[in-house]
Order: sequence, then structure tokens, then C-alpha cells
Amino acid sequence: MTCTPRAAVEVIVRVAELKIDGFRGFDTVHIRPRGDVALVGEPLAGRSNVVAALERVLHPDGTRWHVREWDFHGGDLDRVLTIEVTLTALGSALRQRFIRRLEVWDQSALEVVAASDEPLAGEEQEPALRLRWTCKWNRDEERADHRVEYVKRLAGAGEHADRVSRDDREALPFRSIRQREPLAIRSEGDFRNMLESANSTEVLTAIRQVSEGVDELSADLSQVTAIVEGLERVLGVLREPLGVEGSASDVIRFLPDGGAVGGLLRSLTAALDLGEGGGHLPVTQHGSTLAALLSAAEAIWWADRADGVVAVDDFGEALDGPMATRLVGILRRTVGQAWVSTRRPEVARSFPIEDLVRLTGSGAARRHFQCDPPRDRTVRGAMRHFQLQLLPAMTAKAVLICEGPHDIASLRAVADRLELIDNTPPPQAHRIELVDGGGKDQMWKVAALARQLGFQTVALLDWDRDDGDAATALRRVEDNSDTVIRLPLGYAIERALLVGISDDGLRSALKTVVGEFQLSTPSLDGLDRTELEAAARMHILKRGSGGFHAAFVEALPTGVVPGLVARVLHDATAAILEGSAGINQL
Amino acid sequence: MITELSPTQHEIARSTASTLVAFGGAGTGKTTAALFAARTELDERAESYQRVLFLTFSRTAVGQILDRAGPVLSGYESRVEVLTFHGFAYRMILDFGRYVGLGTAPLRLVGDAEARMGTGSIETLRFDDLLPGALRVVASQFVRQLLHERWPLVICDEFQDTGNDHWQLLESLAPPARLLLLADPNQMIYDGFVPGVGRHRLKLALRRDGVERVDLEASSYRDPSQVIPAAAARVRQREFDAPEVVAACAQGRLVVRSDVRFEDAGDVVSGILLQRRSLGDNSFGVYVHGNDPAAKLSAALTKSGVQNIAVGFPEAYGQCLATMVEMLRYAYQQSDWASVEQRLAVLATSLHRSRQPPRLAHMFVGHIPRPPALDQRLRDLEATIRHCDSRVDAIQIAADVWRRLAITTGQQIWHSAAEVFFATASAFSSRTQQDWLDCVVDELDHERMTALVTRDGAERGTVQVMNLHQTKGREADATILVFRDGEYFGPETEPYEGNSRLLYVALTRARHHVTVVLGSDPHPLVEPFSRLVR
Repeated sequence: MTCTPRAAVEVIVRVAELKIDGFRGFDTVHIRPRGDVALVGEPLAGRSNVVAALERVLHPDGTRWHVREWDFHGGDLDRVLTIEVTLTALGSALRQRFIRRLEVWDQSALEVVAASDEPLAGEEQEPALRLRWTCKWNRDEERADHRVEYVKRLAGAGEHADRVSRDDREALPFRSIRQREPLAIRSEGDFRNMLESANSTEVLTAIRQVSEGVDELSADLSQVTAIVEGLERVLGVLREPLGVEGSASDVIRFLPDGGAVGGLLRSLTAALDLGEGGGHLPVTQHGSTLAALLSAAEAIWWADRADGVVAVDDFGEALDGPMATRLVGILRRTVGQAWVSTRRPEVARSFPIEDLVRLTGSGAARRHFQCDPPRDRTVRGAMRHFQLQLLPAMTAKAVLICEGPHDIASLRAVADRLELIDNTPPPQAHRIELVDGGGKDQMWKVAALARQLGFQTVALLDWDRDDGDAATALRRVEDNSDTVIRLPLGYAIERALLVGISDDGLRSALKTVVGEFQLSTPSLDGLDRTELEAAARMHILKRGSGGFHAAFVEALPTGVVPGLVARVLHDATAAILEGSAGINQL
Repeated sequence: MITELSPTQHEIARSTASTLVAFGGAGTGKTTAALFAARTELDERAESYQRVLFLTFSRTAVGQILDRAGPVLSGYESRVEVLTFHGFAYRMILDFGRYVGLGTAPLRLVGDAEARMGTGSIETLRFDDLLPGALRVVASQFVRQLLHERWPLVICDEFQDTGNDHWQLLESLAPPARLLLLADPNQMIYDGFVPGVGRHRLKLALRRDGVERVDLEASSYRDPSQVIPAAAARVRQREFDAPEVVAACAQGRLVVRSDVRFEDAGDVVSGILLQRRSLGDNSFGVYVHGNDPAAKLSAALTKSGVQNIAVGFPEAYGQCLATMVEMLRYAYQQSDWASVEQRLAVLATSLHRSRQPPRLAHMFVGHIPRPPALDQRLRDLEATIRHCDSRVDAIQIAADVWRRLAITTGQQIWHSAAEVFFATASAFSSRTQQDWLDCVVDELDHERMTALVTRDGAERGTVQVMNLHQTKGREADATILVFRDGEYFGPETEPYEGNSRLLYVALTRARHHVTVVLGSDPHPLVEPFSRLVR
């Protein structure tokens, strides 16, 4: 696949602001993209609705699509729905086409300048075009009246004149890709649309030829002697009641289902021979991954020819991680501005942190979050690191930030054990994700980033020593989290794992780990409780690159749970569900 | 088609000079050459998003340029913007005035009549505010960048009549735009009326960097026989006995009638019109010195059964629309009767060329008592519209106000406006009542303001009656110049340099035939015509 790199394409339009008011689950939302937009977030938080909102304003068919009662936020049919899009980076052609509707976008204030007493200098200002979709429910006719109009009204231009014509919307470089059936040649199929926009005469001629060919061949079919005889026999019975006189081959033809070539095209599906010996098989027979790959490739092709805004809903569904990452990377490089909704962390990782728009909540409580762009390159590097830490949690509601991988392994193992014992739901069941904070000194930064992205944030701190470093870490984490849970003084996760375990249970579990992993440690026989705990902390749990915390928990006798870690899980879950804040000193 | 141009027209059409001043007499094809220059620019040089700006002075000229542009600019219709200077200025203020302190509220353009009747509020924009406002707008770098990107070529028609503000606007666009200035010093008729108009303007233009000059051949496309332009040129030089003038009379192209009393002018002109019609002429211009006499002659022609349009009431058409809209709003309880009366007063004022509003306007607003008949008609009208119970009835009554009030002045203009009103009010029929009314009000307000600065919706009709000063940029198959005894042409004396240019302009409007109608004691300016009576 060849793609034009973005640098070679004149970016002739980008969405500088999207305002949604009363549309579907959104009460009010203002998104001001910094570059591209990766729409991530909790399930049902409205990722697809953001793409739908863009389509309503910018897609030439946006006002043809029906509006339903459920498009009105909270079912409030008295509300006037609006979606407003501000476009900037308009090239010469668009600037001149829409010159009378241009407004001024202030790049530093990130807002439209309504008016100015002093002539504008032009340094920080650039021309912008604001379009607004407005929708009212018509109770008399039980349907919605909706239209797209220019926000900038011209005095006396008439309401009619403020509407954005279909021609004008078609002039906007906007494409939305829904990734339905790949390689669809039928009317309104994405592939067909792309072909037609590239060279419509040739495509339409080819389709007409298919139609004429079918007509001709079906006429030939009706001339075959055996068929004519059969038709004559059938028709013979009906000639009188139908008043038909011509020959059966003139009266009867064979056409595709529905009587038109459209029916034939609808039944045509792409079939691929991938050298597996089965010959050409329909796409669906090759499995969902191939269909997803073809859809994504179609999207890339489409985007490669679009030099403006491209919106893709649910990018990366059914793709494997590396392929999703690669394809979204190509998409981003080729279009002016990409709006991609996804629940795949691999897709989101292709975007810089400031491009993430995270949606949270559902129903009336939906919100959206964006990070400020990093101030300099050093900060950018660090933020990128923390972004990667958070990515797997993008669809979660809350994060429990731990100091490192040992804490996460311990908590997960204990959660699994609790679920097994008494069906206690693990954190994931409450959409709580455990996140690696990168150590005591760094975890406040992950917490800060998580908060900017709208996560409820709980941090779990060790308390090995009561020194200045511990105090500093606590203060910073507290400042950047909703809740901090701190282990008792002298406790790290290894010691916490041992609380609530009997001497025999502890010895037996440690022996199991030593045996299973063939660890060379001094004998555990004859050690008292203090010596056992020391051996566990210093010689067993932290051995190896990943530690043996989870293995230790799994090796505990049936029904035994490390009590302190169980409490951490309980308190963290409660804090998130109840929305409590502050320090919880265990 | 470009091959049909004369060598000098061709030179204009192909020029790449940063400033080109094209001199040419009336009807010598300046406009046609300029349209070809626009075509060449768009064909060969301009980017696909660029346009050509064609500025002129009168709304009539806009219409005539657009008429002629058709075949030349086929395929480029949307890329040549023909505007009056005031139309251009209004557009600048409307589009970008908010960025130079002219307020965010939509500015409503009001005409002189509305201002005279005192209905303008602070959010309104007067006609005289337009050019200064536009100059403020184009001073903004933000706006100028957009305009510079848009127009690589700006054409100015009737350049000899540009005032200071016009010139400043042109200079704000060029450079980077190239300027094509179409001029005929012999048609300079605004000197003394508009600040800055004079021969120095041409000198300034000819001093611009990279300027080039083209003088069109002295041959008229309007009258290819050259008989009328040649005679007009001699008249301008006060040489009434010149062979060209005598020849025009001998060939029956110029006819002079004398001893016609102005009271009888209606009958005389209608007779001439009848005769010229029988000879195949289809469009006629009747030119009179002064607005009031023009209105009177128009009324006299109407009385004689000649359908005619009195040109020169720039607001009347828009005020007819505004009156109909106000009636409609009253029918739907969105306005009170006093507002309707106010609208009627403004309309009456717009049809009256004196500085003071007419008595009829004062009667409408109750400043002076109304005659019982008018009072009764107003009462009847109010009762009828108040009790009408359908949208169709309301539209019909609103469109019929002038007839119901039995007012004859401006009937033709009212009819023209009523056609547009009908068409607009009958649209949007699927809307709810309020939506429909809002749409109709908006659309017609737009039409009213467009008429004020861009084109006059009422200026249709085969017989147009107007003041001599309104003749520039127009043409007709046959023209009739009516002069009254005792007319005042200012302090000028022989050789009447300025007024002779006015005569020249008026005489050169005709394609086929000119009739000069004189009284028994004509002004010295036109007295020499008497010698040509046959």
C-alpha cells in the first residue's frame, strides 16, 4: 500500500472545536482538539456519538438521516439540539468559497473572536468557519426538523440564506468511515462510493455494462429451445386468462432479484483466493480478522485521498494489536486530522497524550477529558511513558495506582483468590484497573495524568521507612489522587502478603514456591515466624525478574487469604464506589 | 470571440499591466474589453479559487454589465463579482464590520427616506456611512489578506467619476491586484457633487507604478453608424452647426421639437413613443432635467396610458416591500397599526424627491389631518387585514394596499414589488406559521437591502423616465430629452463645459434615435438645438 505522507499534503481543514448540546447522551460537551483526536473511554460513554455528531454537521447527507426521539438528550423533546463545528486551517479555496461566513479564531485563546474594536493584527488570528446543526422536534408532525446553518449570520440575508447547502458541505474535505461490509460494490457501499468519487464515469459505465450483459444473457437464456418449450407449457395455461399473445421467450425474461441490476450488485460479494487451496471464498468465509483488515485497508485508502478531516468509528475492532497500531499510524500520517474512536489500547498508543479525548460516565453523567500538551520535550517523554502505563486502563472507570509490578501481581492474585472463595467481585468487575506507577517517586505523575483523563484515582503506597522521602511521596500522591491507601509503617507489599497467614500455612506455601521454581534457598524447616517472614521477603518473593508474589498466593492453603492485601482491595473498591477521598492509613 | 475585438480592445483584454487606464468615448466598447480582460485573467492567470471584481457606480450599470457578461464569461459567471461601490462597501461592513468596532448586532441599512422620517435607530446604517465604514474594514490586515487573495484583477467602470473614498478603496486592493480603470473624461458629471471627483484623479492613476494607457478607437458599438456619437461630440463642443450634427438631423436620427409646453409634454412624448414603436424600437429613455419634473412627466405619461417606470427613487421599491411586510406582521399580531402607518409615511417619502417629507407622509402618521376619504380607506384597510382569516388572504391584502388607498404615485414600482412579495410569501408554505412569517420577513428584508445597493427590482419596463444625471451607464433604442423653459443649470456660462458633458452623456445613450423636446424659451445651454428644428 502506498500512502502520501502527511507532510506532502496541504492540511486544508481541521476541526478546532466541537460543541455538542443535547445530542444523545451529551448534555454539553466542548472538545478542542490539539491535533488528531483519539476518542477513548468507558463503554457507553459516547465515543461513537462524537463521530455521529461530526457527521451530522459535516457529512453532505447529515440532514437527510432521520432524527429519532432518542437523539434528544434525556428524551427531552422540548430541547433544541445543536452541534457546532469550528473549522480552521482552511486553504485558499475554502477561505474564498466561504469568505462571507468567515470568522476569526484566536489561536492562543482557542476561541472565536466575536468582535473587535481595533483592527485585527492577524498574527494570532486565523480565519475560521463555524457550522451548526440545529434540531427541533415538531410535535404536530411527530418528526424532527433539522438543518445545518452558518453560525455567522449576515444581517438581512434571510434565514433561508443561512443554511449550508449540500454543495457547500460537499466542498468540505470530510470523510467518515463506518467500516461495515468491506469491498461492497452495491449502491451506497463504501467501496463503491470511493470508486465513484475517484472516477465515477468509468465505474458507472462498468456497472451499466454489467446490467446490459445480464439483460443480454438472460434474453439468450429465454431463447434456449428446452427453456422456451418449458415456458410455453407454463404460459399456455395462462394465455387466455392473462390475454397474452406473444411467444413465451418475448413475454418472459430472467432478471436479478428485484428486477434491477441493483439486486444483482447487492448479491455480489467479494471472494478471495489466499492460496489456501480452497479457491475464491467469500470474505465472510475467511473469518472476521480478514474482514476487519480489509475494512481498515479501505479506510486507509479512503483517507489517503482525503486531505481534510477523516472520522473512523471503532477503529481496530477484530484486528490484532500490532496490525491495529500499524494501520492507525498510517491513517494518522496520511490525513489532515484524524478522529478515531476506539476501545483498543493499541490504537490509542499511536496518539500523543494531548490527542486523547477520554469520555466517561453514561446517561446524563457523561463527561470528557483532555490533557494539556506537554510543555517541553523532557516532559513529553515522561508523559509518553505514563500514557503507556495508563493505556490498558482507558476503558476503565477508575485506576488503582501501585508502586510497581509486584504490587499489581499480589493484588490480582489475592483478588482472584477472593473471588474463588466467596465470589467477591475483583476490581475489574467494578471497572477498576490496576496500573503500574513506576515507583514511589514517579507514581504521583501517573496519578496526575490519570486525573486529567478523568479517572477516579486511588494510589497504594508502601511505607517501608518513616523518613523524608516517604513524607514527600505521600504529599505528592495525595495532591494528585482522590484517595491514598498507605500500608502500615514498615510494610511493603511483600510483608503485607504475609499478614493473616498461619506459621504452618506460610511455611507450606513458601516451600511450594521454592520447590516449583527450584529456588536455592536455605532450608525453611525450624525457622520461627520472624525468620520465616524474613526469608520470604528477602530470598523468595522478590526472586527472579518478575517475583513470585502471585505464585505464593496461589500456593497458600485453600481458603486462606492474605488479610492486609484483601483489605487494600476492599478499601480501594469502597473508596471508588462511594467516591470518598483522603488518606486511608492502614 | 476575442478575435472580434478591435486592436485596442484586444490590448486591454491581454494586458498584464499593474495599472491599465483605458480611455474611450461612450459606446466604444470599454465594458466589453474589460469583460474579456476578466476572462483572460480567469482563463490564464488566476487560481481556481480567485475571482475578478468589477466595480461601478449605479445599480443600472451592474445590470447592464451582467447582461453583456453572459456570452463573454460563460462558465465563469460565479467568478466575476459585479458590484456598485456602495454594494461592495455594504458587503464589507456586513461581513467584517464587527472586527473594526462596528458592532456585533446585524446592521440594518436604511435609506434616505427612512432617515428623513426618523425611523432609523442606532443599529442602522445610513447610505452615507457605507464608504467610510468599508475603508475602516479594509484597513484591517486580517480582512485585507482575504481580499488580496480573492481578486487578482479589479476593474473600475466610470473611473472619471471616482471620489476620494472610491479611490482609497481601490488602492487598498491594488497592489497586489491589478487595476483596470475604464474612463471617459467627457462623461465626468459628478464633479462638484462628489468630493474628489475631477481631472486630477486621472492624473493620479496615470502616475501609478507600472501604469499603461490604452485609448480606444473613437467608434461606437452602441451606434455602429457613428452618427449619433459624432453629433453628440460636436454638441459637447458647442458646435451645433457642425456637419456631423446637421447630418444626424438630415438622416432623421436626431429630431428637435420646439415650442412644447411642459404641461403638454406627456402627450407629445407618448406620441413620439408610439411612432418609434411602429418603427421597431423596443426600449426607451425619457430624460428630464430635475427629479420633480421627471416624476411629473412620469405621472403624465401614466395618465396618457403609457406604462412607464420612474427611475431615481432608489428606496421606493424596498419601501413597498417593507410596507407589505409590515401589513403581514400586523395581520399576525406581530406589529401595531402605528407601525404600519409609519411604513406608509416612509414609502410616500421615498416616492418624493424633496428634502422634506410630502404632506401625504405627514397625513399617514397623523401630523396633519387626513382628508375624510383617505381616513376612511385607512380604516377599511385596517379592519380588513385584522379580520382576515387565512394566510392567502393576508398576502393578497398586503400586496394590494396601494390600490386600496387609491394612491397613483409609484403604482408601477408597487406592482413590481408586489410580484416579488407574492412569490416570496407563497414560498415556505410547509413551515409553521411563525417560521413562515420569520422566513418571509427575513427574505424580503434582504431583498430590500439588496435593491438599495446592488440592483433595483423595480427598474424594469420598456419606458424609463429619469433625471438627466441618472442616464450614465444606460442605453435604449430611442431616447427623448425633454427641456422646460426656465430651467436652472447652475452658474455656468458659455461654453458650459460641465453641462455640455451632461448633454453628451444623455445624447450618447441612444442606439437608433434621439428626440430633443424644447419649450418656447429654452435655456441658453440647449437653445442652439432650436436651430435644428425642421
